[in-house]
Amino acid sequence: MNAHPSPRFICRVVRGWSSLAGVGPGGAPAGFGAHHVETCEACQEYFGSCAEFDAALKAEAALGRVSSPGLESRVIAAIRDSRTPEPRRSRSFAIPATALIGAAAAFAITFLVMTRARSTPSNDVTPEEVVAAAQSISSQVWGTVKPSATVALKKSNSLQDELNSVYSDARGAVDFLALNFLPGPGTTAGATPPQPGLPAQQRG
Amino acid sequence: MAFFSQSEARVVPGSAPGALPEESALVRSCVDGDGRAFEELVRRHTSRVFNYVFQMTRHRQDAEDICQQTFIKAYRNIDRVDPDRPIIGWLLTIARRTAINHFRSAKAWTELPEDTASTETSPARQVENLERAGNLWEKARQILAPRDFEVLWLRIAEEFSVEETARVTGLTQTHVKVLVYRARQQLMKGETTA
Repeated sequence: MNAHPSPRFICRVVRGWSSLAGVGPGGAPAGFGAHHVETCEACQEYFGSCAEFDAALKAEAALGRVSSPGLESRVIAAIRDSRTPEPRRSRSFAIPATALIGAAAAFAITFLVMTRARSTPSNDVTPEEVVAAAQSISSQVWGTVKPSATVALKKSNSLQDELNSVYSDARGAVDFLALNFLPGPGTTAGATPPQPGLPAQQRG
Repeated sequence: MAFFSQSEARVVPGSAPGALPEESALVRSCVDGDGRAFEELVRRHTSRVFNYVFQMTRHRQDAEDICQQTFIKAYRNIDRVDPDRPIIGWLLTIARRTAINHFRSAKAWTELPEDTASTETSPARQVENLERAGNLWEKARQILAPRDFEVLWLRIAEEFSVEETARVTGLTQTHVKVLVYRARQQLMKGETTA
């Protein structure tokens, strides 16, 4: 093994090292490499030519720069056109709007569910109970309406017929409402809906 | 998170030595919503961004389009830049990525032939080519690989630091140093043999 490496090998090491650690002009080395360059004319010439080459590249880059007339104004105009604050506003309003829509939808669903649950009859209700409840409501309504109507008719007999017809219509309406909107077997499993004319038939 | 995380005191080529604090103030004004401040940044850096893209693409119309898109993207993302760093590195990074998207793939960007749009050479173009024949950068374009040319351009022509060049190109700093060294060696060999 050669105890003293050739100057050329040292020069190559220094030049290669300078590519990674070079800090001076043309990538001149620092540290131990700088000491070698001070004593090596070949390396001084090499790094000098590197510095000159870099300077020439810089100069030619400056000379070779291309201009594009009107590009600045076109870019600025494009940026002005792109200044649309609406997206940011819509983004800021998008969250509350979405929240409001969601809350409204949740409220509507909750309301429907609760209303349906309230109107859902229990499975224990039988058709007979529904008919009895309808008759009870009908008689209660009749008990409250008839006395006042009778007193009123005593003062005017000419309206007797009309009042009777109104009374019969009202009673029919109450029966209809009681049968159709009170909890009935129509929504229970295996039960048949009551017939609208059933109470009258049962009363005979 | 800001694109640049560390501050580095350096002078932007082509601008006054004390321009960096002023540019920082402009960037801060832009972040605060001052559109005129950004227009001032456009006036300062349009030429450099355009030249960088033009050097890489050698197509004027594409370079103008990419330059315009670059500044629009920068305007929309101005709050991501560190005001204490030169904005040109960030702009060139955007320009590079915009160009890559413009040509649909990084391969198209790195292998884009010179003057893809023009198939015929006009007399004016011939004169221009003759004038450019002695240009070192034209020789560099012919000798070097596109990536090596880009790194050398950023380091020498744009006077970017190794760190900034690595950021723009997405390479490691060591890789940048090696590429610059090899590119310089190739070009100097070409100069001596020519």
